[in-house]
Amino acid sequence: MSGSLIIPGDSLPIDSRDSEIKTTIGPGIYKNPQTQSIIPTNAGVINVQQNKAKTTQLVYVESNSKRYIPQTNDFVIGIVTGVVGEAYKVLLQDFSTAVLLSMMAFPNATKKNRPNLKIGQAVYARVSQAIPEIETELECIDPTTGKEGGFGLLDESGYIFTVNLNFARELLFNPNSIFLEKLASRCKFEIAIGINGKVWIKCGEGIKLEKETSEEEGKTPRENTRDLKSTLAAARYLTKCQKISVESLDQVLDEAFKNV
Amino acid sequence: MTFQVRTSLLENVDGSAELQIGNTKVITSVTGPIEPKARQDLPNQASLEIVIRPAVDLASTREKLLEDKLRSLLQSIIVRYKYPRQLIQIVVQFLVSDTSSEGEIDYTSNELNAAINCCYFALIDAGVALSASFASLSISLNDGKATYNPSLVDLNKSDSHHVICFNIVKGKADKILLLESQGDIEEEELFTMISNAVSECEVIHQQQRKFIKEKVDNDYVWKQ
Repeated sequence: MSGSLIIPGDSLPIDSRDSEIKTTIGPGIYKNPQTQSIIPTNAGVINVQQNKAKTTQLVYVESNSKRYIPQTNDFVIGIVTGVVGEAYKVLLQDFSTAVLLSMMAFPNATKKNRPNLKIGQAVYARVSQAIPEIETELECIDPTTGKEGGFGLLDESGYIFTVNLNFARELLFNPNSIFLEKLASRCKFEIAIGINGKVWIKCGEGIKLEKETSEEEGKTPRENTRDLKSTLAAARYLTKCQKISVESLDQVLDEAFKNV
Repeated sequence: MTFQVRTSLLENVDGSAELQIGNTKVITSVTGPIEPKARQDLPNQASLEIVIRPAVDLASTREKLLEDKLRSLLQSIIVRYKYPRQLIQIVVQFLVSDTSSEGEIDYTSNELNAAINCCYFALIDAGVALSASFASLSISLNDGKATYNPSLVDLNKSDSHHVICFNIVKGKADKILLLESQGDIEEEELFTMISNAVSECEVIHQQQRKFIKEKVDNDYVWKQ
């Protein structure tokens, strides 16, 4: 990967005493409250972005880790694990502290009109508050419109699998990423990417229970099996993408979709 | 001074490393930040849980002693204020270590040294915030002659043996984080040994950097 490596103890390639430039620090950078010095705390690739007028700059370390730490405005996929008072307890990652999803944090929700989520269901949500000292909160409302905006319950015909955190960021943030583009050449799909490393994917009608299938008209069981197979193949493909270089991408795609 | 290291070899923890220096082989796992038990909960910083397991037999006071030394070192190097009310769990399992036979003196220096160096890689792998890098070195002195990473035979022959750990800032050894000494030693000898260890730790740091570069490249293998 291009870009220069930085490890804890190194000096940042910026002049932090230069008061002309306003510096914003991102992941992997820490400001010591006592000395006011800015230091890198993680090992990874350093990124420095300056705006054209050279008045502001952004510094962060891009690195892979397995543990997800919620940050405000992250889009995440969580599993409902319980109810406390007027909020759901949502798990973003195994063995991590459960976060809160208020029942009022849904569009059109009132005291009387509550969302009906069951334990075990998955939701796509935005982190509305992430202060380390207190409990993290999620919401399922698009803050700009006040509407649903794609958040809310993820339907059960999709398949949830986990990817590395750095790969999840690539899929969600990089508009030029070729992984999903390649996948689109094979099947029609709906996808929700959580920055906490969970991905929900559904190809065609997705994975249907047998009971639902028989009720549905116009769809033959064969078509349903194909949707199921391609959903699993897509998940297999994306999981494998993390471990290969871009050159062998076509081969991996072929392998994953071999029996579909 | 050479060591072999592998990282991310354990699937179910956040970071792990396996390290071999001389006759000592150790595997370390790091889990965290995770939710602590109520008694471990610190209101404004992360608490550390360190467990050391020996290669043979059960953990005894000897391992507790190593745990305490490791804790005092890691406490100062991990940016604990970044993870309030959280727990970082570190488990050090020795796989192979020199064991003294009955009646001989039991040394812990090589094990402490391996544990410290292995913890560094495991913490880097886990992405736990560190305020600086660190590297440690095990030394034995015999008639003023230093042997780095001594074997059990070297330790038995030596006048004194030491473990020294520096924190590394900007590629240079900065402060002594830990110095464990045992045996007869003159003050002057000790100072010479410390100043020689500086360059030696910087060499280790170069190897650490090389290894981390490979690891990061591997993490981003899919990047164009």
